[in-house]
Amino acid sequence: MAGGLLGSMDSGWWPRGSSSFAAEVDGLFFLIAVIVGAWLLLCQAALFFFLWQASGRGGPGRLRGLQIETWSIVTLAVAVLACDLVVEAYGHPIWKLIVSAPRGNALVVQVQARQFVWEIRHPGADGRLATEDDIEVQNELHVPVGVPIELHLRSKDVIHSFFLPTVRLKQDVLPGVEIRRWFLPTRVGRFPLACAELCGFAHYRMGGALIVHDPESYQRWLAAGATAIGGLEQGVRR
Amino acid sequence: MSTAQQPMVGAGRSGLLGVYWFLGSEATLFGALIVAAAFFRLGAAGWSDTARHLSLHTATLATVCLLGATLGFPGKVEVGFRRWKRMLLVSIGGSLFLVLKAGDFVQHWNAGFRPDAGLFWAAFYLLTGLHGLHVLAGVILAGWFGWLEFRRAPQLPLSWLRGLRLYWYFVDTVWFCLLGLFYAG
Amino acid sequence: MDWNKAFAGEGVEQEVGSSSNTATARLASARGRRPRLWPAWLFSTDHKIIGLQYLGISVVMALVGVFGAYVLRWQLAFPGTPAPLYGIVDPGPYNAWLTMHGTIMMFFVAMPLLLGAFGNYFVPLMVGAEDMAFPRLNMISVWTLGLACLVLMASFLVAEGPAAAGWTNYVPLSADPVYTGVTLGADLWLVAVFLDFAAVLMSGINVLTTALNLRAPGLTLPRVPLFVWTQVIAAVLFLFSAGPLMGAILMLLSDRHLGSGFFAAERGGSPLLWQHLFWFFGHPEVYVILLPALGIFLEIFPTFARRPVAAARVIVVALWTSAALSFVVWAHHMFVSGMSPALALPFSITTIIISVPFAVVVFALIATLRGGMLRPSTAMCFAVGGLASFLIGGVTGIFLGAPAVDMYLHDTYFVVAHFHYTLFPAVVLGGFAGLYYWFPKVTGRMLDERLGKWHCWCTLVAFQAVFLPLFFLGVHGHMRRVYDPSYYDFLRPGIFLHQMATVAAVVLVLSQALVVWNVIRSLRKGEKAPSNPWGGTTLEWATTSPPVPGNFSEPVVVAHEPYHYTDCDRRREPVPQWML
Ligand SMILES: [Cu+2]
Ligand SMILES: [Cu+2]
Ligand SMILES: [Cu+2]
Repeated sequence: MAGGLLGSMDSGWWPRGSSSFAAEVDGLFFLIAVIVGAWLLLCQAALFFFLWQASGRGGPGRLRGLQIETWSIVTLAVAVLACDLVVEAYGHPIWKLIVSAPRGNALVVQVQARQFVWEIRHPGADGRLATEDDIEVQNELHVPVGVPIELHLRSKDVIHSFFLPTVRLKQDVLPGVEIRRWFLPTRVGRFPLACAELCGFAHYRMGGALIVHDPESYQRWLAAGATAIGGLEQGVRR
Repeated sequence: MSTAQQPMVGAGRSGLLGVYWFLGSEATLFGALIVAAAFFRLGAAGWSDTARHLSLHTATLATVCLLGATLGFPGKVEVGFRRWKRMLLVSIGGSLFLVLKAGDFVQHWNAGFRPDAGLFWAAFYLLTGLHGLHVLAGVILAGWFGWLEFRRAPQLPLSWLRGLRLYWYFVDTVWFCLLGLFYAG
Repeated sequence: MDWNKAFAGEGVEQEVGSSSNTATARLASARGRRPRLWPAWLFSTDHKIIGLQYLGISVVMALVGVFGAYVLRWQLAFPGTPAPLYGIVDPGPYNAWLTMHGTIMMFFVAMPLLLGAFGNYFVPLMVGAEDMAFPRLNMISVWTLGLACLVLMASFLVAEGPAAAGWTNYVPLSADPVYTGVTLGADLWLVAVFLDFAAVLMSGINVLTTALNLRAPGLTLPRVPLFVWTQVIAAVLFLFSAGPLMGAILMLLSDRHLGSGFFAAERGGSPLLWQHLFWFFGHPEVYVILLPALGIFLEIFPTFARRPVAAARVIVVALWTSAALSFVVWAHHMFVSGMSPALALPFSITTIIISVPFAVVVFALIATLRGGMLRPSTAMCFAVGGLASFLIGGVTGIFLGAPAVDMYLHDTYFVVAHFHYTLFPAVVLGGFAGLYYWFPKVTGRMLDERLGKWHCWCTLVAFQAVFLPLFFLGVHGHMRRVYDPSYYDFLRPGIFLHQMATVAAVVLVLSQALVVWNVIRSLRKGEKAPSNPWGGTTLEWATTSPPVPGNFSEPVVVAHEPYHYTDCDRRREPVPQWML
């Protein structure tokens, strides 16, 4: 069923990841899917089997073994607990990886949210923020492929949520605090950026793009951004 | 019908049980607000400096009034004689407390310490105000009960008095929490 | 609070008040004249009438909530086109409708229906009491709810319209009118929710006290029916979780009008505090709704499978366990909120573990069919369909309990699909199961079973067609509360799923005509119902249908636990609780 629908979406129902930890998140999702899928099938099968049996088509019903019934229920519940712990044990390191500090030298990008714009401040050619050659763009996050990116997220007004679906990264952005998250883009291309938290009447169009450049095009973008900034102040603002 | 239900598990105690449940939910209401304020107190530097603006004298006096009112409740409501006088004592003590609190509010408000003057004052007005409303409700109930007793209308049910006493203890407890939160530097 | 006055004085009054009440009612019927209808009805302290008042309120509010859902679904499926009966949906009203849909369905439909209507009507009957412990408090409770409804509905009439910050009402969005453009509507929302909670608290105090103190002789705690247990646990949950949100509402009102800054970051306050207080309440709230629905299933399964509930005692333990755990899971709604990521581990462990007690209840329900002798009925159809659907909602919660996956799925349609798959089976399927099960008891008439089966199947199938597509949208990364999905390139291919869901939703709503017709027709010329039409074993079936004033015309004494059936000669006969 899903196969037929798959073609109609650019990257299928499960959007292909574009970050270093996307594969881990996907793996965890499919692990959970397999485990709970099995339990779901088991329960539905048992439910409808007993229903069929009780409706008289499975022979005369007899009421036997109520004690064993209780014990089976408890045993199965313990099995559920075991599955839970597997999910937890497998999933926790992935969470820690996502929310930890980036490894190695990360390129710091500052994201400031306000109703209904992402103001994104990129470091210029010097690779540092808060210098002359910073490039400020609205609603576009430009990064080079293969370099860890550290996001410094802030909000000027209400709570927004910085969401990069293909990166598998989502982080609410709060007024009054700076939250740091990182990711490592692994694929060149243009990917969606969205606001995932209701933030007012235009919440639905607080979107943008994550643009992952290969090294040359990144250099070209840096150069263009720098001249544009130097030339006409608001020129690059889109 | 009543005869049919007569051996029920504990119909006579229902009123008091209801008060217990009610106070349980009240405890979570005040508990949440007090915990929130305590977090603000830990997080904000100037809390105890601001607290100096509050008068310890008034607070002590108010505490005495509230506790004095509590003494109005007999230890065993069954043997409480002349209960209307006791109820009168409760409502007078509670009223004095309210008068003192109101004076406090007016004084600080006029001095410019309003709810928008910082988290201390915001929490102060909200919590002591909410507590004051509870005292007011208690005062009204005690006055009403006292009036019923005074008129020697059908004997006041003991469970009413027990319920009100329980409520008053709760109000006392909350007040002590607030003392610790706002007055203890 | 003026209502403590009301019940502080209830203890002794009750015997006097209610017995004279029933006496006059009986007097009236003895003289063969109907008491003048509406004042008697409106000012009644009879739990049965109050239960029906709750039912009426929840049905009326459901109409508004459903209309909101229709407006939202239309806009999602056909963005920018005028919705029939409504017109063009603008972004502002869209946010208002999504806020009101959630608020109404959670606080003004689910709770009044499952706690107010079913709880009020059947807890006293099932424990063998003649009324609630505090009948007058009960009346005040339903009035308070009515007032809350009026306040909430009034917000549709004020200048900038109703609140538009989502049913979770997150600050700072809801704290300052500049962010949403809504002024008075937001205050009315806060007041309405506060009043609603006060009403449910009063009703909860009543249910708890009734179930504990007014049980019939012989009805020891282990003999209490499971539905009553679920009502008791729901009441306890609400009693100990509502306070924090009521406190938060007071703080927010103070922020909005007195200029305090409890939730304002720039003034030392904390926006996350609202979320903590909201979800400390919010998660138990889900179980406040869920447990009574499970209680309805737990009554229907043994009655129609004609065998005892499997592991009944273990179920009670499991329900209490889930209730206790529900107080320590709240931050699973906040994994990406900006709270310390270190908190994710403890909260995800408690969250995932809470699946264990629910697994017990679900396994026990399934096992209750084993070796049964099924008596097919509409109530059972809804109960089985409800359980099967709820399973999907339950297991998808595990995805959201794992923080790393939640980071992706949080605030997407996956969440929307997940909680609709838990709440719809609970409120709607559970509610209909209860309706078809207890309608004969309440009205003295049988519903048409053939129409009922049609209604059940239409509802079940349409429901799946509405919400299954939303899972697909969710895993595709579709954010929720998005007014116009076509704004995003990556969401545009999914709009046909929205269209599917919307068409199915319209079918779902239209197929409810079947139950409306069924109820109207059965009330007029339905078959007369005997006192125990289904062979139930609990006390509500001991009295006439409908129950006499005062509930039982002769004293009931309970002899044993519920759900007993004889098992000989391949026949199953119920052995009701009141039979020795
Ligand atoms: Cu936003
Ligand atoms: Cu947004
Ligand atoms: Cu939850």
